[in-house]
Amino acid sequence: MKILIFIFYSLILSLALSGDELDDKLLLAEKFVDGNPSEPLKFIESKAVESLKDPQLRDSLEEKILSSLGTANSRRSKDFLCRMLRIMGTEKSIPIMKTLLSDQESGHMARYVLASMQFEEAGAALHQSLNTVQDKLKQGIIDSLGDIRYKKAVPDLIKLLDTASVANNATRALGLIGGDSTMNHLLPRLSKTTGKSYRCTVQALLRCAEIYLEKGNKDKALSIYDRFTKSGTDPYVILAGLRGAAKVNGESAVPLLTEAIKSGNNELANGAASIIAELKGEDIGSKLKSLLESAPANMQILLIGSLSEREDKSAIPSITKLTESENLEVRLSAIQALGKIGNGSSVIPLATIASSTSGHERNVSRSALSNLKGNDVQNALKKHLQESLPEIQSELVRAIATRAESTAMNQLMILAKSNTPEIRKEALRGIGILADQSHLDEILMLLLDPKEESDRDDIESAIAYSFRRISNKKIQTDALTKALEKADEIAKPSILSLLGRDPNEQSLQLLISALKETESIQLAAIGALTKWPDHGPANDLLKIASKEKNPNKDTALNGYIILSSKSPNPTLSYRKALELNNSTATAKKVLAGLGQSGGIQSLEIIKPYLENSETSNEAALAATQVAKRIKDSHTATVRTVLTAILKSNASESAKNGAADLQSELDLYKDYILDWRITGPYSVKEKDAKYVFDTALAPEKDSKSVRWEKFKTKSKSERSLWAIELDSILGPEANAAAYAMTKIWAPENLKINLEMGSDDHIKAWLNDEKIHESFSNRSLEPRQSIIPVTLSKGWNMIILKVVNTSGPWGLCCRIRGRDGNPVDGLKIESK
Amino acid sequence: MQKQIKKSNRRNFLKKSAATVPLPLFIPSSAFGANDRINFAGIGMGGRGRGDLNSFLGFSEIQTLAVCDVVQSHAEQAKSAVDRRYGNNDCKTYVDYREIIMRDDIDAVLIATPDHWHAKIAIEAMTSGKDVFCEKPETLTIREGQMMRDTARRFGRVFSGGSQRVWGDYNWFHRMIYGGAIGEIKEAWVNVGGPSGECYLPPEPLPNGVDWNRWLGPAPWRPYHPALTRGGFRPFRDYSGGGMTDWGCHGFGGALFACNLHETGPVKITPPDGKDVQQLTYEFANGIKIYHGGGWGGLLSFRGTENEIPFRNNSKKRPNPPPIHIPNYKGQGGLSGDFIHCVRSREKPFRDIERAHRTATHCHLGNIAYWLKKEIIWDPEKEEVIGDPEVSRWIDRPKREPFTIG
Repeated sequence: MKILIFIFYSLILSLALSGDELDDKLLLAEKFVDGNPSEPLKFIESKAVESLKDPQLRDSLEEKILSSLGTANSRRSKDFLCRMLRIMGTEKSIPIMKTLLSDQESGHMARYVLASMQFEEAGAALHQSLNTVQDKLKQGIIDSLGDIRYKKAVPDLIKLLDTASVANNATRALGLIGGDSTMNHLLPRLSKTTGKSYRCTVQALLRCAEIYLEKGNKDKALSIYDRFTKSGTDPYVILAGLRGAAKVNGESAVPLLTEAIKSGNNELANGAASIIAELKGEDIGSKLKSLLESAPANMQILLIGSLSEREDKSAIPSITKLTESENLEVRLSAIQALGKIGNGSSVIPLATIASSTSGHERNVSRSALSNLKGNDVQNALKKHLQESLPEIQSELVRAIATRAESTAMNQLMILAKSNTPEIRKEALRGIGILADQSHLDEILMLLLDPKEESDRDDIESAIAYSFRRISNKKIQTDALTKALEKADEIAKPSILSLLGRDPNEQSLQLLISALKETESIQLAAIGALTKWPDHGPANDLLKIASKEKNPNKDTALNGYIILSSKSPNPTLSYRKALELNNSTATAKKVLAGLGQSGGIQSLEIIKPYLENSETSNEAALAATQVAKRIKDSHTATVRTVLTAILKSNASESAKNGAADLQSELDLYKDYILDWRITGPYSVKEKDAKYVFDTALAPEKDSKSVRWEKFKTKSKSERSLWAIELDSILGPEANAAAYAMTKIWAPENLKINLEMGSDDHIKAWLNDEKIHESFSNRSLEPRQSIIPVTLSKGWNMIILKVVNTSGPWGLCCRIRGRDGNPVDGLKIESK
Repeated sequence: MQKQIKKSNRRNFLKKSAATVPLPLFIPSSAFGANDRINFAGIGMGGRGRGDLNSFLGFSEIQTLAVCDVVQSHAEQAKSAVDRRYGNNDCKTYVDYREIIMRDDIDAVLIATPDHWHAKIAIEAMTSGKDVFCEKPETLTIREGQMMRDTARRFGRVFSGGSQRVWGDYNWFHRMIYGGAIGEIKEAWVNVGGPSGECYLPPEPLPNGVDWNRWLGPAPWRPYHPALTRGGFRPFRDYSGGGMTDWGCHGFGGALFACNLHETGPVKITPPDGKDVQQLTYEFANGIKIYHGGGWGGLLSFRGTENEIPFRNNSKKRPNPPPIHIPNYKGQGGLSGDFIHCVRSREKPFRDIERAHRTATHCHLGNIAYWLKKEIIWDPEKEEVIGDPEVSRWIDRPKREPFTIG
């Protein structure tokens, strides 16, 4: 029992306490102005939200807020209290809100409450105030009456159509409410208004029409739409009417829409065609088709587009006829449309066009043929393959291949032996696209016994292409091996070339064996081995290259040079090539290779070629490429090499890369590392923007703070040019650090300060602010380049860097206005 | 038919039928002539706006004629960029966007003002026959989105919202999910910032060159503070929806698209209660749930019946998604190019107003649930709150006079 009493009194006490706390906060809220602490308001807002689930709290809170409104003495305090009522106010708030509607400062916030509420009394309060307020407040009330669709206000709103200052607001509101009175009063205004008022009236009437449609009153909606379609002057307004008419009338709107297409106004025509395309109705297609033949070209294009978008297959014959139009654009439009909606009957027309035209028209027809959908298309293609003229057959074969009709392989294999070269070519192309490992033996037989020798390259390409679809590479190699055994002197090179595209140990051995055969077979083997994915066959090629009398030695040497890039020691490999043959041609190839894969030792090989006018360009490019790769590990060597390149006789374009690399290396040079730091500075509960904007102690009086020579624990490469504040001061968020140093100049000097920061930065030179940038960013050199003038003698620089979060740092250096280092300066942070 | 139809001195090119667009264009652009560029203007030329404008300046199909900002220096910087691009001094600057709206020679506008201005300018532009590219978040309230969509449809205008990330950054997720790589999608997590709140910034002296009344526009009055005009308005409810709409339009936009829910809406939104519900949860009619926060994959995580993405093993490279084609941008050049293409072809762009509005609505509903700490039952067909008048109050906000919205 005692426990129960204790709990009861605790509850009462807590309620009393919270009640007192709320009253205290409300007292503060009554006096609130921006800049005052916001905690009391946040507390009240939390109570307002809480009250949505607590009727008792809601009741008492609303009463207190309404009472506070009576004593609140600032605009912002009233605003705040209104916001709270918007959250949780009831009908009880309406009378006081109504009185505030006429207050110039608080009228909006009173509306903020009333127009949000779904009470009839709230709407009535707005309506009743209509005649008691003026000017902007009146506009606001009218707007809100429209927003809440307050029908009772319609007569008064209609009267206001004649008051210039609020006519547009009244128009808008009436449009949102709708109804017969609205329509009857707004329609005449179409001819009496211009500019913004006209547009407002249009919008309102269209909204009115939509409301009629929602209620099923099509006739009245149509009467509005007709007004626009018949009397509108702006195309987009006429289209709005047409759109509406189409919604109401469906198919019956087609005559109106076709009139618009014929109008000669492109915007109207385009829009009407789009509307037709979306209309539902079985008869629309036939109506459009009936217009198609006799329409002018522009209109034909639009009608074709509409029929195509509707996927109206009954239009296929009409559209097919237009593929023969004299007008190119009509033909193209019809061809594309057939590609979308065509069927088997479209195959021959499209193939005929493709075979008899060129350029864009041919491309479009081929594309359309490929895009045809439906089983009858496949059957049509196969059927016509047998029956058609050769030039059409060729297009059909192409289409079969592009459509990836895998069942067509048998036909393609037959056609690969056709008497017509063009058909054979297309058939082989198709075979390349469609063949898989089940066809490999058969295609290889083609290679061994082609219709014509001239087909061999195409067959080889087709086989190579089919390799992409063969997952079992062993089967692939075995098939090639078998074919090689059967191949004659003429066919072997092709097989060897294919083995080169099938790199594995088995292929490698076959190719190396082939190096011992006749000259032509050896040449084919060299070609295949040159493309090998690793350095494996390199020495075999070198052996051939070493044979003075071998007619293939130069080709073998080229192959060796190419494979050298894949060697574990490319530089050594390239050196061997040069030892074998140091002609200019070989040197250039070696230099290209060294550029791709050489290391620091390759610079020694490159150097003499830099001094040779025949090879200086290639040497400059190669040396630059090597330098880029080793710039971090051998910076000093790279600088020497770049200097040599820039002094050489190589062309300007060959030197550009070296010049860029030199600038890049320079990017991290000469940064000021002698600073004194003070910080971190933050402001409780304030973010980085506040800290940035606020003048903190070092800015107010730099002498009043302690500037420390910093110690960094960082050993990062970045610490060689940047000051890593997070490493010095710790990872502070929403905090500022200040860095100070002094620069001595022998005379007044115009320079650039090149700075970077993470994140935001302000800079002062001799107490004058010279730069600020508020930007969340990573630290990079030269993010800001600020031209300043140093005075003769000592100059003080202070940088303020504010961190939002994460890494934190700054960098700063001095450059001349020409971007070059400046001599004669001293830097000291003491 | 009325004979005296106004000759359109813009858009004299033939429509490219939507049927023909996926195939190679059959009318080469050179056939249109040099005068058939899209005349363009930028409204709201702060940092983001200038960034967007720079993107559009890269398209030869666009001719930027004017820029507008209530902060004079913003407008001047934008003008400099435009004049540099064209090598002349012809770009006009305005403080009042209405002067741009009234120009008949402007075909399309870029809107990159703070969020609370988007709806007003967009609706007025479309009512004047202009197409609109609008930065995200496209709306401040749900009702604004409905009005913008209705206006776009009413006048047949092309409206593109501004999230370039929904496809640009997140398409791997879409292709994985649409391609069936994780089975049937069940849940998604979106990690973006939280809701906005009231603004209690202290007043600051108003500098020259800032039209503060116009900057506030339809939002309730308050004194000037520089953070607001320098891009720092997002945390404050009168102007924006905080992280929920800022990155939410990207993140939730991506999640909704991945789940194929981008043209509908949730049926229930439950705020966290610290007990049974740890994260704000959106439930959809088909059973899919999307959570605000949590997940393991950075911004987006998805779980299906067979797998989840991104893979939790960080050492795994993202696999190639299945070879599925998902219709996305039309034309070349990302979201901007998509808009330009659609202005010419009159198709709906990838971030059509319906999708942009639905995504923003999704974010707004989350905000309302957070603000009121209430579960919301939502009808995505009628786009109404069911059975809660206090929540319904937040579907829209009465605008400060005289800044009526459309």
